[in-house]
Amino acid sequence: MTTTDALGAVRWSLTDTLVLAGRSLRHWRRQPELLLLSTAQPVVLVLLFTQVFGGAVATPGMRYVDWLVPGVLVQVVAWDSAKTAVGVAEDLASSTIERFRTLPMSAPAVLAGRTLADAGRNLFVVLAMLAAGVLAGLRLPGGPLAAAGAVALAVAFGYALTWVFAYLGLRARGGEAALAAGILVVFPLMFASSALVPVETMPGWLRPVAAHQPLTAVIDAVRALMQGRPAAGATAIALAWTAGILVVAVPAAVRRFYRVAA
Amino acid sequence: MTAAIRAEGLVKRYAGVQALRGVDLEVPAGAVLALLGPNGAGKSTTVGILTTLVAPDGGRAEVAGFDVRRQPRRVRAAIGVAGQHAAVDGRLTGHENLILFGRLHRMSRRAAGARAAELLDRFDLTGVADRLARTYSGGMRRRLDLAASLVAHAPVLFLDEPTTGLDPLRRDQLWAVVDDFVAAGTSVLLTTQYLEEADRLADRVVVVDHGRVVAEGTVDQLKHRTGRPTLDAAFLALTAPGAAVPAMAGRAA
Ligand SMILES: Nc1ncnc2c1ncn2[C@@H]1O[C@H](COP(=O)(O)OP(=O)(O)OP(=O)(O)O)[C@@H](O)[C@H]1O
Ligand SMILES: [Mg+2]
Repeated sequence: MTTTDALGAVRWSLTDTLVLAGRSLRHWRRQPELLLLSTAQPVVLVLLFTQVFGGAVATPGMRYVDWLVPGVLVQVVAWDSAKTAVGVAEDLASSTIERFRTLPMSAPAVLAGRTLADAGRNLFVVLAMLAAGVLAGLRLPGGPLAAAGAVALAVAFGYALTWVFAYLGLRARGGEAALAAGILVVFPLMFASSALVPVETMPGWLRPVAAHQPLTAVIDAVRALMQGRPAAGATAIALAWTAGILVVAVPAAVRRFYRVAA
Repeated sequence: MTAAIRAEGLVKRYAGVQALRGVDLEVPAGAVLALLGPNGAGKSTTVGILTTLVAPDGGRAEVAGFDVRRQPRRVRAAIGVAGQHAAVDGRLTGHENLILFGRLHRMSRRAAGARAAELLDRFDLTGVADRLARTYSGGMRRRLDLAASLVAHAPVLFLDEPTTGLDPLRRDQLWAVVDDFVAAGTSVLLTTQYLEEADRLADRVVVVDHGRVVAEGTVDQLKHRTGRPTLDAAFLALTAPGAAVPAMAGRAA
């Protein structure tokens, strides 16, 4: 393959990816209530949690709302990423993917397009939650730049997770099964983390697990960035998790894609 | 001139089922071949292999001069496919579906839009172009799926039971569309349960049963060989269990 061929192939893969991301965006435009609901849910969560747990949880050197919002934000990012599994599984079940495979398109673009669109939805949800958090009293002493970094980190992590869920979606039989598998993976990560309560308050056996799982790493980094605390170490760990997940999940999903599609 | 489609000894096993036991067929460039056979005979499996969707366990096949296993990309660039089950995106409108296919066929936005409008018109879908495809009737979805297979002006066309579910008027319209494409040089492999359709569209017919070719030739040759006056009767004679016809000594053309 000559360089021009290779460049052309990359260009087409990108175009195919964007065309398919556009397809997902159109789906949402056709069902705006879906996007609205998936945004409203986390917003309600933020408002509820701050009010309900606000008085009960002691957080070290931090108001509870400042502790909680980064936690719920990353929880919701993980939760939202799980929807990728449903979309992929539904495309597979409805033989849409089979149809795409008779086209001269770049096959992994089916996954890349969907994960890209899902990252876009994730960003939207994160921004809405941040606004709700501020409404509930969240302060951002880290400043706008650090806050933007925190949002970017959360969305990047969510993007890495969508590839894990793309893989699960390709393994599952149908959207329902994919959702069940997604929940099974996501729930322990969401709650055995520093999202809602400090890890130190958990039972001894759980503490090391909760302290060293990826969601806690990302939550800690987002929290430090938003609060203007030293964040370099936490951010590095969070980025390492993000990169590590991508390095494993992208090839696994692509390989799986070629397999189910063969 | 190379054949548009050439398959030799195609074999496909599924768990517990021998779907194909060595299927040979050839479609000369510009010709129309009808693949006939009872349910489960192996028609869709054959189409699947030729359209790069199914990996064969044995045999080889070329489409538009490219090997389906070693050059699947090239094959895909040369084919239009309408599968047995309409696979359109129900959450997009008819118009958006066709544009999506055009774009994935690497047409410009503008060219894809123009082509979509043209095909919607051709398939009588202009009035419902902006409705979500999941609100379409079965026949409408089918027509949209067929339109999608024609977006690219591919030189080789695969239509798996294209008229199933179409009303007589729409069936005639589809036949006319196929005629136009053939007149413009497109080669077609179609499967059908309607012998009338094979009679109307195809230059040659291949009859498969239990994963084997049991007869092939022109429609007239089949009638002649089976000694049955109609294609229906000839078909039944060929594929009925314990068919009385002397095993169609007739693979010879
Ligand atoms: N994915 C699959 N897994 C297992 N068996 C399969 C699969 N696809 C096809 N088969 C089997 O292979 C055989 C041939 O099926 P195929 O779909 O090719 O038949 P067909 O001639 O298209 O039938 P029909 O007229 O009903 O569409 C059948 O016995 C079918 O059950
Ligand atoms: Mg079939």
